[in-house]
Amino acid sequence: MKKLFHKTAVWELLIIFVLSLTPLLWFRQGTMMLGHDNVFPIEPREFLAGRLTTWSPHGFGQNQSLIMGTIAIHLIDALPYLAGLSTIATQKVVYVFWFFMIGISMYTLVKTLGKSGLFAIVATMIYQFNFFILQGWWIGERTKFSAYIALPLVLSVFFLVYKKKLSVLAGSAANSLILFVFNAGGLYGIPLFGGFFISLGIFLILFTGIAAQTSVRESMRLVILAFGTLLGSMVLNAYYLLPAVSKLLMQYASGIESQGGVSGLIDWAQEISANSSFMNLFRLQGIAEWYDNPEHPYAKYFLTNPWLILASFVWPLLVLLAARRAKDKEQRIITTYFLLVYLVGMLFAAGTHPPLGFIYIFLVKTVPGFGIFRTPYFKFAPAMFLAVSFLAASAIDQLPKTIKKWGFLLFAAFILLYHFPFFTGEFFSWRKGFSTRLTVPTYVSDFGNWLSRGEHDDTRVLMLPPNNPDLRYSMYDWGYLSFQSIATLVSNHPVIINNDRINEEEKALVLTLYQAIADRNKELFLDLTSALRIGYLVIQHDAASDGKTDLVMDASVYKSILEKDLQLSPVRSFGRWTMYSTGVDPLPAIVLAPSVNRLNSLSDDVGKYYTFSNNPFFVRYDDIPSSLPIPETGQYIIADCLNCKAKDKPFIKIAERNILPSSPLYPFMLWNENRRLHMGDPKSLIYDYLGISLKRVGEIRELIKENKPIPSPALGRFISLMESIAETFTTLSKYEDKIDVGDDVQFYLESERNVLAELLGIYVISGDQVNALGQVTQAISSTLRAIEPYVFIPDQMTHRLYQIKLDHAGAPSFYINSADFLTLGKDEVTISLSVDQKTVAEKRLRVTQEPSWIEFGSQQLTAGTHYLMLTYPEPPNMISSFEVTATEFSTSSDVNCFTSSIVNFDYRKLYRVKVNYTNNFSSELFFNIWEFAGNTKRLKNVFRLPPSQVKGELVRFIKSYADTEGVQIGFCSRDLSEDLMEKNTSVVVNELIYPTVFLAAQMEQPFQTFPVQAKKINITSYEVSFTTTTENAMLVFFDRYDAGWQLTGFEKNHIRMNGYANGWLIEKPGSYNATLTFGPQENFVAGVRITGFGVLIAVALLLWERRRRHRYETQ
Amino acid sequence: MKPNSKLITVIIILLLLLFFRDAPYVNIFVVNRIWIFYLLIVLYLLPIRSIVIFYVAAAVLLVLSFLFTFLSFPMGAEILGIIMYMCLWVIGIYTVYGIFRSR
Repeated sequence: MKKLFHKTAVWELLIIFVLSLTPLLWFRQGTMMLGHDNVFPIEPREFLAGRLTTWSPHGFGQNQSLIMGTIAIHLIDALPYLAGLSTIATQKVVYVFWFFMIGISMYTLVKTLGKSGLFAIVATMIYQFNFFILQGWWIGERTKFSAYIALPLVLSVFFLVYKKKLSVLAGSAANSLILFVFNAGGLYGIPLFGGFFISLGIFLILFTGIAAQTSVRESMRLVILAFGTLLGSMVLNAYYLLPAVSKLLMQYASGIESQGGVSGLIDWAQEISANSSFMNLFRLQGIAEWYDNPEHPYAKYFLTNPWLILASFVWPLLVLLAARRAKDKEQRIITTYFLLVYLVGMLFAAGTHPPLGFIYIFLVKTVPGFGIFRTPYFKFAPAMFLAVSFLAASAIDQLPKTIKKWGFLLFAAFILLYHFPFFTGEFFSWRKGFSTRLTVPTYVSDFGNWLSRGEHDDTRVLMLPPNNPDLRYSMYDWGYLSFQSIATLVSNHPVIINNDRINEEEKALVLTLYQAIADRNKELFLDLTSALRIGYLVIQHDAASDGKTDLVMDASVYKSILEKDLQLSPVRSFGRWTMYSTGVDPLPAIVLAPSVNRLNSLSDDVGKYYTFSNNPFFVRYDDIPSSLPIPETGQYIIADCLNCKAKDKPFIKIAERNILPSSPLYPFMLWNENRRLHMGDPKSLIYDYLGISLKRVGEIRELIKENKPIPSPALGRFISLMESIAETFTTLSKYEDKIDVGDDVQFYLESERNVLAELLGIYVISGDQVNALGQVTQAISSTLRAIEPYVFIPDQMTHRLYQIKLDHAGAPSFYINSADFLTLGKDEVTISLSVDQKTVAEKRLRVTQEPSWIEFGSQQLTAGTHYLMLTYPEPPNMISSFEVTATEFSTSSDVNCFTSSIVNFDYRKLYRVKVNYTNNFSSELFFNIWEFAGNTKRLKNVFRLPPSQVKGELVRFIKSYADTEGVQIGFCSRDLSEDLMEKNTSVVVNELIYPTVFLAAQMEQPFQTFPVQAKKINITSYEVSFTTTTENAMLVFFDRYDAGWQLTGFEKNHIRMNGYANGWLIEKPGSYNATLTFGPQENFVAGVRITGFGVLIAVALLLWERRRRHRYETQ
Repeated sequence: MKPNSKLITVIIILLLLLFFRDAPYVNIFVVNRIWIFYLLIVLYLLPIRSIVIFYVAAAVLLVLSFLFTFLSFPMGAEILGIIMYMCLWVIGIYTVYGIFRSR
């Protein structure tokens, strides 16, 4: 360590520092790095404060027990700001700090190994300047840098202990302190230590082996150091580990599920590993985005420029030179160690890429927890870069003394020149119009300051326009694109937007609110803003949209709606953001409700509750524990529609089969088919069987075409397969699955039967084959009969089937919403409702003259599942007459196109197009669907209608985005004429109706609330006092439901309210004083104490070691 | 083993590999891993007297893979990269063996 402070060392450190100023080249006037995954706070003080508690107020509130480890990162982010620097200056300092620390970490390792200054500088430069780390700088990935820095530092300590320059105890303390500061952001950063684990694992194997040759005691020192490091770092990181422990195991299970299971992880790893071949990794390339993204800012140079291609081969050449056998034994051991780290690191960084990708896949499938390394390159490449840094410098070090110095200098120049994108700084723009280097408008900070100053009430703020519900990220025309709501970077005040931080129920409620605004539904708007405690709306006129959604995304439309239809006035302006007050008093944050409604619905439907009831308090049936007598006034059920899926049917094509039952390979093929069956999941298994049945039909067809007999075993297998489909179908437990799967089974089997029927009379005339074919079609028919009760035969244009579940007998009233039927027009129509095939009510009515909810009588029902059928007339045909039109297909040839448009098109509706045709005139008849958006016409679908003497049918559903102004459909063919159009085609386009059927099992009383005196101690603690005069009242706390919230004295009475909030059942009348606390915060505080104690012990150990060494050296 | 019997063994293995490589369904399991067999055959045939040959081989492969990359034939470069990677493993294992033996 003394050498670090040697005069030459100062110069070396100065050089590293100067190089570490590179990030300053990236900042342009007034810009900062933000967006995508770069969560750099615009107000670092606020942001850090928000991370010091396990509960965050963002959105509807969030449990952040699992991300407390990010405190270390955000403390570094905030320190310059707390010292008085501006946000941009703070970011500059922070970037230079991380760049410098990357260099220092490598420098420390190399110096620990006793290398020269030039060696250290060159190795450091490679570790600092490479494309793996540049990919991280693009989004300021401090968690990655943190793990990247920890690797050489911890390795240095291991080498020091190995060389006996440090005791095991002090080494453990030093490593613990390193991993305390550089913890990669805590729990979610653990996968970033992939390269670290490899490097240390190899170190332990190699060096304990070598040490064991001297004595077992020697080798045990390293093992104890590893355990000491693990234990010490756990103690020093207790502040984040303790709160996370209770959720850790559950999080892995749900995390895997959210990634689509193990197969989803492997699919993703395959995307990442697509170009990580060994050759690319040798050349320190292989990042997937280089090859996938044609707009990548610098990859094209390195993939096409011959000089840069040549230069990229310098890296493997140097590794090869370094791998030569060194004369010095210790040097040879160290070089070998880095060579092994290089090779193993490369193996893992290659991920699923052939030829050794099967190892990674095997580990993901078999080693519990290995799935956390789901982006192999980014997790394991640090080991490779660490090794290359050392080996490349080592290769230059082997040059003759006379030219070594010049060799190092030339190589240093090469490193900087080769990595020129570091100096151009043009790598932040990642998509047209979007960059992670931005000029953040000042009004964003102004808005944050206003929120943080607390000059307003504690209600939430809703941002408009919404994010695209499918994509869920925020986009602004000044280049910001991220899942991170920009408001969370400027304030800790709750701001709502439909991003990925809200759960399914919250999303349903928020989307219902957005839709209510777009529909100008003032009543629903007021009910929802009150229930969700939204006091303000902010229209962001700088919000960008890709238009691919059916939600209104235009800020000016929202402005018009708020001001004209909802009659709200702007209360404040922040540049291009305008704020409106909802004008109503939302419910208090904590309130006592003497009665609540019960709601039985899918989580997606919770928003519909507010369209029916005025009582803002409800409990979903799924959220009610059987032990709690939840008070109720009303009981509502939103019927679950079973045939509302609009699923396009595939074109069935039977592929030609090469391996027929007579082939010797046939048994192997059967074995392989069986191996791939999803035996545990009946639904998937049926689809597997359907796939196999297509193959079997293909084989039968081939045999018949070749005039070969169908062997009895093959026949038996097909019949058995059909029986298996029928049997497995009976094991489907959910009725909705039977409806869904039954429809598909019918479609596939009927298609197969048609294929076989075509053979009759052409290839099969008489004999055994007729008999065999008869058995096959009989087996198909038998399976079709078995599923028939579950195949929904009535047309979904006029019939909707629903399922309801009652937990006790009753006589609920039925309601339908008149707004759902507006497409039926002003004429009188008949709508009927039946329950379990008995008609409850049949009404003739004009929907335009009906109230919003039309009562459809009531019916006494037993507890259990019941099925409802709603029948209504077919909506009118929305298509006008077909006319000859010039299209992109008809301009340059003699192709004729006849088109028509959907009348009164509404992008929010779903349309069904039903085409009946007899194509006995052309081999090239096409049916096309176009969309109009602004001045552009885009082709949406093209279908080839195959020639046939018999009638064909094509059914397709048209779902459009909010920017779609019209839809055109049409036929195109060379042989098409007006006469053929009239005789051989017929098209019907109808709007699909999705009626909501609401059941009121018990009508509610007018709702009321009792006040609660709530004193906020801090974000995780409240003192509440309240009085209730009724039994079984509910204390409601309008933050997101989390089991961590505890109300003293009522711990067991905690349930989820309104689909998202916290509720506690107060069973007896009386006056109460209680404390409402968030439990994980106590774990965090306890963890902080353990961490503080651990840090003191670790520092004391290091000081003691230093003193001991000093005394030993002076003696 | 005599040279002729060595040759016969290799030919038999090659024929078997050819059969498995082209046999439907079996190829799914064989094709992705067939390189391991080829590599082992090459190692089996090489008259290795010194580890130096692997350094030389890796260097030659590096030059060839550069040419392939330069000529926009990444597949060729990738295959050579795999062999080069294996050569480095041989060097690494040999050196580790040497370290332990010398101690």
